[in-house]
Amino acid sequence: MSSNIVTIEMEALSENQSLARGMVANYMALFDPTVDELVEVKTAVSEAVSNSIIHGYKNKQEGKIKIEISTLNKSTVSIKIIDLGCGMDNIKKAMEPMFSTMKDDELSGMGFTVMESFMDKMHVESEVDKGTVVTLIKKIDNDYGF
Amino acid sequence: MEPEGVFFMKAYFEIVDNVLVVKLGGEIDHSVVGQIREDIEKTAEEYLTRHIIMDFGKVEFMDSAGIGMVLGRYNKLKDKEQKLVVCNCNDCVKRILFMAGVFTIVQYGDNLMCALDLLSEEDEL
Repeated sequence: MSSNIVTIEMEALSENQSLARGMVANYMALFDPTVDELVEVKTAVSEAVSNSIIHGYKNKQEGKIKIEISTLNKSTVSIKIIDLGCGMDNIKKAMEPMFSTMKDDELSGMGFTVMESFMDKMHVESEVDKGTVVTLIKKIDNDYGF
Repeated sequence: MEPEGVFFMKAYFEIVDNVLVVKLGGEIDHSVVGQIREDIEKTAEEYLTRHIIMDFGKVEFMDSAGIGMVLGRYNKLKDKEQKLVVCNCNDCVKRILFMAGVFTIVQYGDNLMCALDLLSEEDEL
């Protein structure tokens, strides 16, 4: 089975967030997901992309975000969100619920928590001043159809 | 009258007595919360309303940016001893807010009537 890799590159603009999750949702249609599964994936992608825009590129509305979607097997999709922004020195800290480096801006610090609970697996690689790669894996239950 | 059809505006306001009802719609993410926040603040100031009800009835999508928006309003109001009530959330909105424990501090009503009732109960006490 082909892994059907689709790569999307976009500028790190806030308004592209809905475009990003919309395109991932279109790809997801190949897996015949339930409404819930689709919403979960869309939300997780939205979180990862806003992290890149707000933190990776420090909300300067410049830089590039690459999204790589691929099919691992007939029911598993992998989504990589890649930025070349500032990176994180302490991933573990960043992933704690309610932790935010920008608490004043009414950011909740729940991004990674949402990604973790809505997807089956999440992997984060990051290097300071190099960038961040977030890999999101979701298994779509299409054997039973409910 | 509430606009029919496609919901272009992200926030649309109604005032009931001293309560500002914020009817939210569309997709709520980081690209729009700033504007919504500003609109709510400006409207509340202009019409000197006391409490705020956030009605999520027409929201199709929300990510964690919505948590910050709700908690931000809650904190602002709490300082002035005013109340925030959230109502009419669909399952995905509810799930996100629940995850952050928003409903442990912010009151929830199933619909706008319930939300208004919650506030009038408060005022009688």
